[in-house]
Amino acid sequence: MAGKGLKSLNEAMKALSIASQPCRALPMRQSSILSSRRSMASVATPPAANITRSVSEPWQPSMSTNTTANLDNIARAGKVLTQDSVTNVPVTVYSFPELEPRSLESYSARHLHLPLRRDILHLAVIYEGDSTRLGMASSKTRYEVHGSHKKMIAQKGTGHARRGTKQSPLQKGGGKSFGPKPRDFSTKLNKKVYDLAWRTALSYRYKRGELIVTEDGLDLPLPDDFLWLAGGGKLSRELEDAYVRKWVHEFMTGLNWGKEAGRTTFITGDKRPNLFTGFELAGAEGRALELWDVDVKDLLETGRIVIERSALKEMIKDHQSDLVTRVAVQGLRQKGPKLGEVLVRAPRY
Amino acid sequence: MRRIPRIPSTASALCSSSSPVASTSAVPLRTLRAQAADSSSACQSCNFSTQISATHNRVWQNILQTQRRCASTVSETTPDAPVAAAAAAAEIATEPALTLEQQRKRRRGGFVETQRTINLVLPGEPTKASAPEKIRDPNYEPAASGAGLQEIGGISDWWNKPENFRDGGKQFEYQGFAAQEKITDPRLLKVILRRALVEGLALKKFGANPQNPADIAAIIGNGDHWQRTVSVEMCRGEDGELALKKDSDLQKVWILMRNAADKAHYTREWTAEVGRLRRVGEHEQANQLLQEGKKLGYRFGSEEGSRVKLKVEEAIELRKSWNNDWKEATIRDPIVKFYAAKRIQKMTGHLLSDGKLTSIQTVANFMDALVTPPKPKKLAEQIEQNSILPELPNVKVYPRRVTPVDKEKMVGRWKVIQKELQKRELPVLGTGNVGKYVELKWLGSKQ
Repeated sequence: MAGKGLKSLNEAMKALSIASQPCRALPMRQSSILSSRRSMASVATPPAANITRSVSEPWQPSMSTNTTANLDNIARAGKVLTQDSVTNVPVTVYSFPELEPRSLESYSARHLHLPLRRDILHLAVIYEGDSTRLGMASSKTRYEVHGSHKKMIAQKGTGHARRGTKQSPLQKGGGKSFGPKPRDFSTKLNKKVYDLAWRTALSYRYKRGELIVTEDGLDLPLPDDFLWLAGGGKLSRELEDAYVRKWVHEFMTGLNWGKEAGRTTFITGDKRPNLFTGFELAGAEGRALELWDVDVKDLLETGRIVIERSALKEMIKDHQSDLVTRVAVQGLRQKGPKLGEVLVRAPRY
Repeated sequence: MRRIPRIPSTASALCSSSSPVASTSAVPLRTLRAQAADSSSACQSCNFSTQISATHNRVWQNILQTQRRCASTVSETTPDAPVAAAAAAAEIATEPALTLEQQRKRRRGGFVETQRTINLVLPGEPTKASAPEKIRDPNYEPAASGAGLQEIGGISDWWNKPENFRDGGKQFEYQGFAAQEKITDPRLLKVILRRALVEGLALKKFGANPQNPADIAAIIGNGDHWQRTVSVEMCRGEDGELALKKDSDLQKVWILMRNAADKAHYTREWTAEVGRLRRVGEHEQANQLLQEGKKLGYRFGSEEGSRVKLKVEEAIELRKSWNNDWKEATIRDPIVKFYAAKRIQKMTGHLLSDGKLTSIQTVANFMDALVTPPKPKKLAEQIEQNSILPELPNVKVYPRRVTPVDKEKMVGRWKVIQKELQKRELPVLGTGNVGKYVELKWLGSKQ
């Protein structure tokens, strides 16, 4: 029996050896993938199969090593380019409210074209929810309930059950044994993960066409007539509010951004009176937020995000801790991808 | 207690006049505020500043600030003007004090406006009934309560009445850059896309020139030059990118665009000038200018060809002037895509988002993005459009759940049921706050 056991162990060890596993020949498999990706018509030499990448080498996306001819072939086949191939994405800056495309900026794909990571978004939203929880619930223990601590009835001889103080948790009106006390519900999340979630949320909106970037100075263009009357104090508060409510409703319906289209979040650098008061009155149509007030959950809510150009820039700049470093190597510091490089400048006439 | 690490705000403290918080050293919005510095204004009462450049916005801002944020006692205690007997026939509001900028504008225009007709009709002053003791009519008996008295006026739905807008509600119409009517016919869209791409290539080369008389991509209309623009030969360039076969064609297209832009630009200026003269009251001069412009071929009030006049037959005819080679060309240049998308927005009303433009890599992609209708929002819509189900004789498709009431309506029994229920004073819909038998609960039934 012992001999048989040793034999089977030997067999098992042999089966584990690399030579007996032809399917694990990684170099062969890898190179076959690369060759199949290569354009058939291309005269370009195939890139060397660099499968033994050192950890110190930066990771290169597979497509970036491909020739332009290869890219071309894929594009000609009518396929949408993969995530890896996109390094920069354009951002059109619109005028508001006409929505005329005024200028064009380029953002890094690492800012606005990240793959959707629902798990990371979930982490961020839960983290924010935890941090926002007030945790104010508070009940009194038997030591905090007001009253005398005298024994209510004698221990023996009354015919009643035994009773201690009035504050006993067993008594009606007594303290709570293990009740809630104010506490901090906030949880931790690594800043790099939270920042990635922020940009993932923006990227998600961008890809769906729900991120509309406007020129600076985003505000509601209330009609002159109304402003003249309101400025002259001719409107009562009721009339004024009702007018603004109606105007915002009609305006948002005209844009197809209103209640029917899932509401709209406007994000500005600071408070704009017409915009903020307008949506305070007509909250069913959308909401307006200052940049400091925005979090990841806000970016995921409502039908679309309308944000000012500089607010977007500022937002990304403040949430790229995973792309920048504070450590300088040989006097150089990794500053992250360029933010909002202007491709087409807004014409001034 | 710990909170989400957010940007420290100076802006948030700007208008809290009750607690004027000093700004912190870390100013995340400093760029925004620096840009706003030249155009910002400050409300003295609440120390609020903003970067809005338009003067009129501040007027409302100031009012609301004093009313809402600074909690002015006047606005809180003064009751609103409640009832209007009749709408004022013509409300003339005296103009509030002009800002310097406005004054300068007016001076340039050569006149100063002192009165202004407002397109909104306001309720008149409320009238008060005289006190009961002052009424001498012996038959008069004051009512003990308001029940049963006739109600007159009220301003709760003042702005829902069309007669209260002198412009017929025009002030609520949204007018954007995009064409008002969306073009969805694929035959037209194909021709329009070709034109947009030709113009996009031209704009990429010449559009950013500061010597251009106007923003040509924005101002040119959608009217003429279809044949001359669209029939330009396009091909795949050396790198596979879309290009014009002859460089001279690009120049020709650009000249066409320049001329169209000039015409649109002058039409706009001429219309504005005629309008201004009319407002001032110099009708003779206005008419003279109008006639002069008409002789030169301008059309009052309309920019050059603001709507696409292309007909389907023309589009089919134009379509014959090119082959399909250009469809295989790639368009990876974001600037060409930007200009093309801008022209498409103006001509067809389609707003192509950045996300879509990023995924567009070839002309064929572009065509698909434009022609493919948006995904239906409801399942019923989708079935209606792309299914044989509605055509089947034994299948009916409803946009929502078929309720018991719907079923009764279908057989024409609902009105009768309603009548009988009302006769017995029973609730027509629902249970009328009558819950389940409480005994069921006692019995521990799960029903």
